[in-house]
Amino acid sequence: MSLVPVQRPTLAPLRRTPTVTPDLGLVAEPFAPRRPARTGADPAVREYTPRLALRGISGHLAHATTGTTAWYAVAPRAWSMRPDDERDALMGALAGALARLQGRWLHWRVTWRPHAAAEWARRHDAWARPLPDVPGAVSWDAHLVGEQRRALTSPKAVKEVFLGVEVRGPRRGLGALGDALARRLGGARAADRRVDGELGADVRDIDAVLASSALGAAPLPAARMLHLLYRSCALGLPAQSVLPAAPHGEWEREDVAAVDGLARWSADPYAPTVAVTGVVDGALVTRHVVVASMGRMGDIDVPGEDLPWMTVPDDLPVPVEWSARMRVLPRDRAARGLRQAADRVEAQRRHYEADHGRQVPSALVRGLEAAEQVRGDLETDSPLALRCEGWWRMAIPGRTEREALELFDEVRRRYAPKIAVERSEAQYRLAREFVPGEPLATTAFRRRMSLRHVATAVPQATDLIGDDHGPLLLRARTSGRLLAWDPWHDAGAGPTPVVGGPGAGKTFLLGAVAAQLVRSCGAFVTLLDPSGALGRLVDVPELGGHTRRLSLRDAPPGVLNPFTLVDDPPEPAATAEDAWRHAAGRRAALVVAVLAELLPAAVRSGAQVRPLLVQAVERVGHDRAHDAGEVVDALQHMGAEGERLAAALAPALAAAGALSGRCDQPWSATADRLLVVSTTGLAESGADDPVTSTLARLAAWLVRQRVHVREGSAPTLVGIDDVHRFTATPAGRTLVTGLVRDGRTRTVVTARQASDLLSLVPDDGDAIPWHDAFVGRTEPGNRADALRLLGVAPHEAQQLPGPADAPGEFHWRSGPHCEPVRVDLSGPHLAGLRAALGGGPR
Amino acid sequence: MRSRSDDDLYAVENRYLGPPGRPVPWQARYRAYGAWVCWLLPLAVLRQTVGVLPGLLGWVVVGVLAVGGARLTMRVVGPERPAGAVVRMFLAELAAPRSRQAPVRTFVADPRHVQVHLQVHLQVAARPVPGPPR
Repeated sequence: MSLVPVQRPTLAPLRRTPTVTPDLGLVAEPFAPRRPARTGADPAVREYTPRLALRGISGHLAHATTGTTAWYAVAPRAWSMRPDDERDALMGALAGALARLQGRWLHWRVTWRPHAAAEWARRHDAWARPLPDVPGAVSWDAHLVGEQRRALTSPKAVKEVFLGVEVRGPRRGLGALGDALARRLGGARAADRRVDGELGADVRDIDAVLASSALGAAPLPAARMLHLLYRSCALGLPAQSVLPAAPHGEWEREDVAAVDGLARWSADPYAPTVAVTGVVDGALVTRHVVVASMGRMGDIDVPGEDLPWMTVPDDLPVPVEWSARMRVLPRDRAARGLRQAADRVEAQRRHYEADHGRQVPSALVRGLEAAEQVRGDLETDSPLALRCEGWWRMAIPGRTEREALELFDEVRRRYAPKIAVERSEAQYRLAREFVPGEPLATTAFRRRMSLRHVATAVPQATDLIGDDHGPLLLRARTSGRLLAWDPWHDAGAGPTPVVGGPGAGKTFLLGAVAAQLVRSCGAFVTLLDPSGALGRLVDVPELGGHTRRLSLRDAPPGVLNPFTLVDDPPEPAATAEDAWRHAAGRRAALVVAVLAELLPAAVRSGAQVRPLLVQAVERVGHDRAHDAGEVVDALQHMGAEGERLAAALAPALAAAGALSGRCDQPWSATADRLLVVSTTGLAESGADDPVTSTLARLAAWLVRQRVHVREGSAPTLVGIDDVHRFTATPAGRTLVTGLVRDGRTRTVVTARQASDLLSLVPDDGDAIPWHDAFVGRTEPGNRADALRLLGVAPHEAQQLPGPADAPGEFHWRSGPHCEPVRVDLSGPHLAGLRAALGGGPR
Repeated sequence: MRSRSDDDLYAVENRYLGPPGRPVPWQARYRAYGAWVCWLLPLAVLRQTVGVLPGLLGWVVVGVLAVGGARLTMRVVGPERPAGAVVRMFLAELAAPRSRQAPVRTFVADPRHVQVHLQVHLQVAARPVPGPPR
């Protein structure tokens, strides 16, 4: 019998004893220990130590080797188009809030979040009533996908400002030893809980101070803390579209691994950037990040001449992030340091002048002036005079090193000549400063300033506008965020003025609004188009079958036949005599009114005119099968007066050919979602022309008919382009005034001059009767009225910048906020709409 | 709100012009004298150790070299970048993680020596297969 060798197991502790059994022969029992195996022991691996200083999170407290920091989300504040006194008050309140955090290290983090496109699309799809898909055109699903892509083209959309307040500094010496022992004996979690307990009262005080101050800061919830850590550890990388869930806010040391390895950071020796590589949405992405430090600062005047200095790079196409470490110095310590510096400067002056009789250099003169100012500040008790020191860094990402450096040059150019922006070595260590809990990399580029100067940074200033409800129509100029606008949401009825000089993009905006509302909401939109620029909207493929263009001057015969303009009652009511009688009565009244309007003024004023017209209509009949020409024929058989009327009406009817004859596509007020009424040529005909007056009256009647028939069952909107062309005729002025003052009709009215619109609404002092208003490029003479449309009082207008100056750019007032925006119809799925509107604002 | 930082105050670097009434021909910052001393000491030790340039001339050369070193130092040191911060940033550069895919660089002194084409004919013989020892 041969023995089969058994391979020796590689596990050392296991013993193997060959034994002989009577039945099976010699076999091995490789796992037959002499004594019971020891199971359940700790794995033989070293304890995990994060590469980050962060060691855990409990609630909004971040525990790190460098200390414990409480993190808060700072409420955003509007800045654009606010009066100077409000801005001054905001800055003063900000300084007051920081003064209450005296002696603590503060860590500002400013980061960006992309557009919540998926969430918007879900909500939009839920409430929208889109038109049915048209074969060959962009379907509704493809439209939603395209809109999300468009929203995500900008890597930044929502600015987020976080503030970390040091609750406990780093432990050294015996304190650190005690902490280590506590962790060893009681566990890390217990140690953190003990720390939380000790700091509880302190943290509650800080919570209260920040919540009640101008900062409006709230403790950071778990999800946003995760977002901050992601943005910090993957600095410069595009934001993840889907973040992992943050079910609770308690992180232990091992949980830090979730963000510790998010990205690989590397830097070549003395390289100008740090390379950050990570996986974003399944793709390996590398970004090169320049970390710039704020250098010396000159005199700045906010808001008079300058922007808040932490918002200057906000309108760059890339998300520039901020990390600022600062500390408000206790008054006595600051005073001591300042006096020492001032004495040093004074000693240098004496050295130049007294010891050597030389003139002091210019740098020393500036130092002496600064010393004088500082001495003045030290004598006041104002919180604005408190001193602080800090380091302000910006992270500027680029796809390549070259792009990042070009963007850095752009940032430097924007700050010049008042503020220096410096790029230094040690980019990797500087970039690490952006991660919560990491220590300061270097004391270079230390800034010392008063709280007044810090307050002029206003990091939380951003664009606040819109409510994310409705189709995406506009893009915020500063943040690049796509903005939705639904004229019926939270705004009630009433006019929306759009004011701008020639080429400001008013018509483009009106057309975009109309088409998107018809497409998304199934709205009934009527456009009065005096220039003919909106006529091609009916050719937009996605609106196919639901549009009609009606040219009052050039309409085919019979299209505006007043007999066919009044619909018959719908089928369920066909048996109701009252409904039929009512429709017939309205039809007869319309025909009489139209024919009377066509008569010359001298003939129209006769006492027998209206009775004769009524009799003629009665002879012809009330149903839709007739036309105005039959009424003229009937008049010719009604005596001499009738013949005289017929003779007066015949040439007018011939001039307005659309009023008589038959049409293959009879009019229906409820059929077309988008009706573009072209009034080209009407304004040039003169107000006293009967045909012009009649057509204008008919247009007014059409608009009212569409609005009132659909009232309550579907959203309706009337768009009036270049309102001054309508106000030239009495009928047009009546129409426009009625629509603008009608509390039930939503209107969008464009005008070259704000005064054209202000004259249409009752003068109610500074109160404005609209929720939304758009003001684009205007002539200097109209600036005050234009700003009044935006709700700016005349005495405040001088403090504010003029309205936008590029085509398609507007200042949008929406409720309490006002921001610069531009009309945005980018994306391949909107190619048809862009083509219909001539490609862009002109 | 018009405001101004304290930079102008802290940016002043005091200079020593010389004893009262007797200005020296150069104007140097006080820190520059410290830097000069920091350069002078090791250079003096080096001179003594190596034993070159004996006599007064050697001390003059050491002094001039220290002036050069101090001038270089003061180029990178200033109110914005204290000496300690410069050293820390230098150390941080040393400790920064490097890219794993470092580009392979080849330096060739004379472009004529660049090998542009290589054709190698190899005859691969069947290798004996190791078997059990005989």
